[in-house]
Amino acid sequence: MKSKEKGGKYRQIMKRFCRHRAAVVCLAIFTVLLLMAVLAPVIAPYEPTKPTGKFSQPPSPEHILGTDKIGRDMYSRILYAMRVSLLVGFLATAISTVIGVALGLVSGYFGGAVDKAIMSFTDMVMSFPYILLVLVAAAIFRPGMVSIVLILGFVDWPGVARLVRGNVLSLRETNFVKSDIAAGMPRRFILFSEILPNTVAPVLVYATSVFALSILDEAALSFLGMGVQKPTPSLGNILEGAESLSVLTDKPWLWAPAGTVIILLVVCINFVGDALRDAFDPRNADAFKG
Amino acid sequence: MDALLEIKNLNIAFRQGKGFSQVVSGAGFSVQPGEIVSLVGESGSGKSITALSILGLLSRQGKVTGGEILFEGKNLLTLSEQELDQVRGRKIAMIFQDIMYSLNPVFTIGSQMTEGMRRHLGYAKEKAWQEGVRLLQRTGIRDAERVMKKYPHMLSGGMRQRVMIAMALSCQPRLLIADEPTTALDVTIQYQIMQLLRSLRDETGMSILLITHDIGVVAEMADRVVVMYAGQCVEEADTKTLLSHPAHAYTKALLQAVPGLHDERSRRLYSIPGFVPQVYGDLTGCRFASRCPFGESCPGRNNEQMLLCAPGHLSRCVWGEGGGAA
Repeated sequence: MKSKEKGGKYRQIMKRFCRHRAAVVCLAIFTVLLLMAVLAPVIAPYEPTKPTGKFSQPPSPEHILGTDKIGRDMYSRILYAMRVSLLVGFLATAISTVIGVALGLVSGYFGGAVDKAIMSFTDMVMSFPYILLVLVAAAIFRPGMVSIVLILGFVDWPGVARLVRGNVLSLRETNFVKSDIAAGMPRRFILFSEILPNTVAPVLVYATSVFALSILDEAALSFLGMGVQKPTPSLGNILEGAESLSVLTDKPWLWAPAGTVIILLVVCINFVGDALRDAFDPRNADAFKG
Repeated sequence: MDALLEIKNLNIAFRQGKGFSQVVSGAGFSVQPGEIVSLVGESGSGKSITALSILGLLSRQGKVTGGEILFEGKNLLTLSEQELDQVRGRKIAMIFQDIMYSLNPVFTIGSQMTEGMRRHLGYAKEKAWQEGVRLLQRTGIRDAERVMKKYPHMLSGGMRQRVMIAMALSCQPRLLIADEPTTALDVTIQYQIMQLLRSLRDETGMSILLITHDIGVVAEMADRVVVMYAGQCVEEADTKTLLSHPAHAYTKALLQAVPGLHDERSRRLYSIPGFVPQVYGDLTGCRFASRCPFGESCPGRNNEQMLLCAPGHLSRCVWGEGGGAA
């Protein structure tokens, strides 16, 4: 009861989040990785795109993660690659979330023919084989960072749209929305100031998984050569080196660090997302009171 | 004196499959300024639907198919949404039964209380806040300043309903529609809320349309009562007359079904035999006939009109034994 008195809603959410030890650890790891990525120009010892040593050298004091096939410092490349991958993931998530929230709100609130049209379109987008669509799109547009952000952004939104629509449908029937109508509030106000804030929590949780997926998709596309183009490093195109069997077996420093970073990022983001969902769930609030 | 609200021959239908099924047929009653009118009936009798239709709040399946709802002489059914928004909240306010979700869970009480006043009355933030605190105090919340900063989930049910009432009053409406405002509350709180509503009426001179299925509440609160059964208004009278000299067989049965404090232990609680008909749009004549103790032989079986029993006392049924059904 005391915490209810002093703490606002956010304090409670924080508290519930912190009960997930794994998520807290993951958040810490993610923060460190994020900082390394953001500070890459400061902490990277070499230029990521220029050869600075002998090629395919195993880790050594000068190059702590070794050098790649043309002699670029692997550690520096991975730092910059994280920047690219996180940026692609973040932007793609932002685009798909904005599209999904907008369509979901309109669809759920106005209903009728608009709803049918939007939901049919959503189903259509969802029913395309995902990776194929991305590949074709990547082949038509010039592959590169901008196009991969746009492609992922425009392919990932249906889940968000459905989630938001479902939420709006149930919120629309609640009494506080009816009270607002009964109080003569304009529709715009109800939609954006009353309904939208109530969908923030589920959308935020969903966005974390889209974020993780986008990073994986970027890696997959870049691995296939359809994503971020060399010499710009990305976690996916660094892994491209692992295509040959000899590299895979004899030169693990060329692929293991990048692979590990991808796994760490995706696992951490997903764990944080899970904990966020629990933290936002009001049913846990009740358990907490007891 | 002109009626503040007058409902004439209101028909409401709900979409069912491909067609429409009528749920309110020919409902009509009026509310005078400063009057508390109670709309009573079983679940499914159409009382809430009638109330919702006044503010145009019927869900998408529902449709007003005929009649007039006159408020201050204007027919609300012909107004556009924008024009209706000028009436909603400002002149007619409404409070709902379900107190769990009547307040937006993500905002503080203060921000929700001040929103309406700032929008409708053009108050500045500071003034709206002070007015909000005053209203909360008026509805019996002691530490109003602190409650303003709280979120809905931190309040008890009774508190929430007080907040709802305070919000409804914030723009000084002329009519308050209260749809079973105390059903979800326990009896002590129920009593306090009812007292509050009554003293607010005395103070501000607003009218209250109280929807309830609780005869006790009716006796306590209402100046006049309208009884609804199967989508029709079946009887209308001032509270005293209705309770002491009910005319309609249904009203009589309803009153008999109220447990009394001084009943003998051995008395079995009376219940009306049968059920409210599920589909009643196509029924002709008396809709209560199938459950009526006077049954087949009743001369009023085919009556379709409200009849005048006494000045201000209307009923669809004037047959049956004089004093009570038993």
